[in-house]
Amino acid sequence: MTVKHLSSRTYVIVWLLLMGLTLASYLLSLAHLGEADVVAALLIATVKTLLVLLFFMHLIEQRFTNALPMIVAALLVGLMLTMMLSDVTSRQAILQRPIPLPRPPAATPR
Amino acid sequence: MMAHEVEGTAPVHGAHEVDYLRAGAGVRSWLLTTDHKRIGLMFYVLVVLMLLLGGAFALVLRTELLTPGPTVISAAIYNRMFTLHGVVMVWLFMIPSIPNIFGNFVLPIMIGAKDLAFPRLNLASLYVYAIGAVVTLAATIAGGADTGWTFYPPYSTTTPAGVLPVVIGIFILGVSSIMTAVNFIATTHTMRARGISWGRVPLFVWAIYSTSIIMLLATPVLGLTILLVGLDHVYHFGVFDPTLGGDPVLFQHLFWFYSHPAVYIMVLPALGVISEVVCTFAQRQPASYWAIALSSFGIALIGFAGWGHHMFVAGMSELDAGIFGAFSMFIAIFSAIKVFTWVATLHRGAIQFNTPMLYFFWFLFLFVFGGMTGVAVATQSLDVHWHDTYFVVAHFHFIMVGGTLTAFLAAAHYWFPKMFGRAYSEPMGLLTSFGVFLGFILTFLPQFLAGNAGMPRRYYSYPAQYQWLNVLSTGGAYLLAGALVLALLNLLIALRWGPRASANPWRSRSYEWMTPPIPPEHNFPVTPVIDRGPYDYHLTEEEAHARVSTAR
Repeated sequence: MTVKHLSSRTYVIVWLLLMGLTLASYLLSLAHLGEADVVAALLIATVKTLLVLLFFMHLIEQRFTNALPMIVAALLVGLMLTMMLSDVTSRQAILQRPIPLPRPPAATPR
Repeated sequence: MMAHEVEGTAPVHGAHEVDYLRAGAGVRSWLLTTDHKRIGLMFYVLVVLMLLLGGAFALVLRTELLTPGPTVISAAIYNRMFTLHGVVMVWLFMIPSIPNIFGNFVLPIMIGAKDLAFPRLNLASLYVYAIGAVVTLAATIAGGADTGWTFYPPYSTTTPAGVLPVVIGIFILGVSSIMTAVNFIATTHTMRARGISWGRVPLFVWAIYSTSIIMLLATPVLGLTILLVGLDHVYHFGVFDPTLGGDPVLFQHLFWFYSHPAVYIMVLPALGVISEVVCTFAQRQPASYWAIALSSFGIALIGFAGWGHHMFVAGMSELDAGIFGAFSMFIAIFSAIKVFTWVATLHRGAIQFNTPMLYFFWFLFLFVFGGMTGVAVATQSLDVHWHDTYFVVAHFHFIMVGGTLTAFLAAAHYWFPKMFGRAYSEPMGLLTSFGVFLGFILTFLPQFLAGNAGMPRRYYSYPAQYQWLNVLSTGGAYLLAGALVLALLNLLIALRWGPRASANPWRSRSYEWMTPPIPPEHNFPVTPVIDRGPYDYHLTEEEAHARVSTAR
């Protein structure tokens, strides 16, 4: 169910782009952006994944219905990571919250 | 136009070809076959063997629970046996049963294809399944895991029992699942005959397609997760072990990301079977084709978002628990769409009460009852009360076992004439069907009561106050087992002595019935062009036949 074919030149350009993004990831690791490190690395990895899926796994040449399972897969992986991370991070917050001490019993008149 | 038989039968595609059972002689022709129908049959034999094995373990467990305290086996053997029962039933019976047997057999015929997209991969998936089964069972015989089929750490990473071999067996089974899923997806996308647009794909194919998407996306997560458990167990990696800095709740996230959708891997194909059965035996087109087709897809997608309800009492954050609870209840909407559409399909239908149709009614009851208890369990406050009690055991047996088993039996009877060209004994089919239903209810209804009263699951012994419920449950288990054995015997006897069946004994409009009584090796000598839907019951059989032609 292929709808169009790409030229070899396109593949070379995409490969160069992937190499460029790999270099960017390396440079990023030297830059030490703090908490933004992970976000930036994940963004670059996502773009690389998309390029591989679209061009080297030929999704861009397919009809939309054939590409659908891949899109669904990406969405579900996103869902899994989001929910899991949100649970893990909020559980840490719960653990770090100081536990309130029990109130001393009120003095009872003898 | 195709030639066709007299009224009441179907057009014969490839009548001059030898049927698939006689297409090649000798063991070698079976072991090296790439014919999807033969592979489906070989899966049939293996999966039924696993059902009998898993059922036998269940009977031993129920016998043990007949009295409080030791009855027939020791506590250690009990722990290993309920693990084995779960592993065998989940991974060796329920997950592969309908897709690998009936999906393999009828899916390509239903879309007018000669075979699956990757026939050799299909054969490979059979062998990988067989290897996985052997490794799992051999590992268990050699010592076996005592963790339950969920392998929860930190117990699974510290127990002296042999967890790793079982985990490897399940990993291998996962590879087989993925192979099958890839094959079904590729086949559905690329091998539909001309005229079978997405709006004319039979509902069973929609169900198998949705199931395959879940299998493909979720199984790798399970494979890697249980492999990590194995490595934790042997090499003390500490990924999930809290004493080594690991997070056991992370395991639960990853495990249930697969294992909750796995419920739909088991149930969605069953829903597909039921959709076919209800249309055929009501002689009506579905009340809404798209409602059933898209709700399969909806269940598949939303099924991925409810895994966290297994972890309400595991120390999960309140926010996530709320989201997961809501998503879990959302699935009931899609399930209800299906149920209402089936019931609406029956309205003003010419209903025939054959064995498959009777299984449809049993399925409907178990699915609705089990589903309602599912909504209740997805409510956090109620879940805290019922968590890890027999209530949950009864709930998932109603949905998973009840749903899968009744649909499996419906499919086994419904497609029997197409698979083997013979008819089974209808009175015996009806009788065993009643036995299965009564046995099932008697087994699991008392477990709802026991669980609600506080009896924990997986316990070897229990206080005497629960005994009468356990006696009922064990009696039901024996009734269920007896009915299943009789149903199997009925079909086995029909294989040899059953009367010859016509090509379309149920007068269905679905495409697989257009082939001869036993389909030839390549299903259709020439790819058909189909100019009608699979449920066009408003057409007479003559008109329906006339709308099928050969490719030019």
